[in-house]
Amino acid sequence: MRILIVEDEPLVRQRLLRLCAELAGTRARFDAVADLDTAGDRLQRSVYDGLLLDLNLGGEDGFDLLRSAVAGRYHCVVVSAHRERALQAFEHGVLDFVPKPFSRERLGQALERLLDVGRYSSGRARYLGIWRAQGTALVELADVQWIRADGDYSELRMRDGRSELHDKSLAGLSAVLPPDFVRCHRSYLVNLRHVSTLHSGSGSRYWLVLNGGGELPVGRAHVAGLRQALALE
Amino acid sequence: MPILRILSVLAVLVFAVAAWLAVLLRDVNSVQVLSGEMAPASVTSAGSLPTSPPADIHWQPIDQQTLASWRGPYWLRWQSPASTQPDDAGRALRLSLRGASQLYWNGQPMLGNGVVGISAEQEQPGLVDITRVLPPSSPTGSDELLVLASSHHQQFGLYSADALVAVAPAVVLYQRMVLPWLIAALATGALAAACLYFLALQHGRPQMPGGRLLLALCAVGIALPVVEGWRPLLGYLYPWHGLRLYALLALHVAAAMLLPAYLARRYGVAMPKGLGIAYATALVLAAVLLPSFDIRSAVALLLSLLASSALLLRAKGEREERWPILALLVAGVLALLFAPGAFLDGPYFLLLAVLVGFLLLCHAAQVRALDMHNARLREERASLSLQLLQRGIQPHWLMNTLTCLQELIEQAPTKASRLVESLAEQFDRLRESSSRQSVPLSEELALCRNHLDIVGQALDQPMTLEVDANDLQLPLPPGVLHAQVENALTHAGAVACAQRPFRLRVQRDKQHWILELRSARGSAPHRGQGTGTRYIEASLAASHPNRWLYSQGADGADWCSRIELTCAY
Repeated sequence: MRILIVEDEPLVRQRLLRLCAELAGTRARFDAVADLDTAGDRLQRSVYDGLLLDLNLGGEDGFDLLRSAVAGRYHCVVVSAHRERALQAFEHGVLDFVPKPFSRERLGQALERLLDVGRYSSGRARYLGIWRAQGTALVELADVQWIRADGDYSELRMRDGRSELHDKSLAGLSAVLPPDFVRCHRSYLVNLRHVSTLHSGSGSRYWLVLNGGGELPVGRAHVAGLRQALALE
Repeated sequence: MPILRILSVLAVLVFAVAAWLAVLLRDVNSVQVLSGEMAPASVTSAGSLPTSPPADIHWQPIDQQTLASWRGPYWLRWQSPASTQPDDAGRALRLSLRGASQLYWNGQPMLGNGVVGISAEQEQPGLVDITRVLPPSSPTGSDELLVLASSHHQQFGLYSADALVAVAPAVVLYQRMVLPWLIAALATGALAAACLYFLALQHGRPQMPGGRLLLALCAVGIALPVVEGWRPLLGYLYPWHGLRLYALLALHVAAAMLLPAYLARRYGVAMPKGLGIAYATALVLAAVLLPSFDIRSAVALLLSLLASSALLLRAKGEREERWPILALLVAGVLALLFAPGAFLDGPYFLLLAVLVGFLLLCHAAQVRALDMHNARLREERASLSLQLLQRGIQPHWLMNTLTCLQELIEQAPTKASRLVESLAEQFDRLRESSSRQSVPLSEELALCRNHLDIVGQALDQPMTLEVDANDLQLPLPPGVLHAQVENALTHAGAVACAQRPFRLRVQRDKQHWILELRSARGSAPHRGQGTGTRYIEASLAASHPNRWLYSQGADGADWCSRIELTCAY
């Protein structure tokens, strides 16, 4: 696993590199850069699985990079002195927020989360970044009806019928999406806010009817979880 | 023009004067003022006082100016047709005479007033005004009041004797003659209350321009009706009369001096010294050379009202106050020109009470406005002090520094110890600066250098501030240079600032101090609109109201901030 550290303070950068290397051991390799431009170059040239990002870099707002980062395939952990921006960072879909100054243990927790994304089933994101020709656009998750796996990508179906493509896989997204999004099929995550009814047919066949009139298949393995999430059990 | 205020003060004045006149004139038709005669009295051959005038005595109509010079003994006689009214027994007379007197009503002796004497030693002074209930009228159809009087204790050469006899129903003379003074007492009480309120408001505060003059004017305004009312309300022995008249004249002259002096001070009208001296001389000459006390007072007051009006017309601003005062002064001038005697006998001090009361209230409002302004300044200073402290411990800088400190503690404890010392010094300087309105440039520079030292330790590169200044004692609002240094570090970044040192140049151009700070420009957008700039502008506005300029912008590879202060320092 390759993780990029973006931090402008040399001593803090040194601390992040040292502690991350000690904590991750051979599970990950770390690179560190001091500014957003270099970070952008690195992210374009190399494949990274995670990003440790400071929000204020030499007067520049790290949220610019954060919006791009959360739209990418890698996950992002914010390491920042701006504790008041933690909620905003989570809403943008970051995996964790480590406030400065940080202990070895706290950094270790965030790193574990980054190294083992699959273990974490829900986050606190309110938006998802979507790549567009003009840059990154933010999509409000409340407007997403369902998300379908599309190879290494995910297809987002919006309430108005539009579809958007996201760089993260369905498993990757599960770690940052709020609990409203529940797996109903091995290829689908559904937003419970838009579910109208759960139907059962002959031969233990189940499907969901959505508020807009659309339908989604329900896998047998996910029926029990879905009934629990809908408070039917 | 502040019409409402003008109408209000005039309405108060008209109401007071109308109330005064209403009670004064209510019984005017029932009061009969007699015309009299006078003649010198001859001492008897036995060297004693006569008990009746000789038959061949030469009576002449009373000439008040001649009578004023008589010391005594002398005869006065007033005659009137006998009363035919059914309540004849309820009549009384009021005799005003500056002397001791023995009264005879239709030949019958009445209760005397003091003891008439051939010399000052023999005479016991009587009251200046006496009232006596009259016996029934004479059946002959004519009443006569005969008075033997002497005035040996008259110390001052008065212009007029003002000898007077008035006959009226007893209830009028004993009760109602004092009623107008109730109005005067109310006006005086209101003025005293306003004066006390003003004193309480002024207590413990710095004096406003003209505050003492106004208080002196107020004291005169209270003293005038007191001295005026002494005669009708309490009465006194006639030798006091001259003293009372001089006291009244002194009060009128004092009011005539104080009123324009206060107005000139209050509204900042520059008066040439020669003009002031000429005015004071004119007042003194009027008070000394003119014939009677009434004329002296009237002229002094007229001069005062005219001078005050001229001053108000020359003053600028504060129309809300000036025009109502001017309206009162014009009302006074008109009253003085058309009815000087009546005006001086009462309405004058009502006018003075209304005028001084209005001035007191205006002054008090000004004090209150100043209080509010000072409170706002205190609040502003407290807010700036808080902002300075908050900026000194702003999370981004502090948390990053603490994270650096964590790393140094684990990796380089000696450097960590030095960083802790620098942080302690920084907080100490911030605490010290935040409690003051201004700090010398040297202290502000020490704060900046300390901050740069901390950043340099975290960066492991020295950060420098070069200073070109002759006077390091120049007072500055605390934190203004510190905020500029912080801005540069935040927006250009510490690395850029380490590569391009800060350079401060302080120079003086006549009344202007110019502080120019250059630092690395950096590449961050939207610089110069944040909390740092707002803090600098608010601090300069609080310390140098309307006498500061602050500008900043890119200049080549530099970011240049410029503070310009206009000050007497």
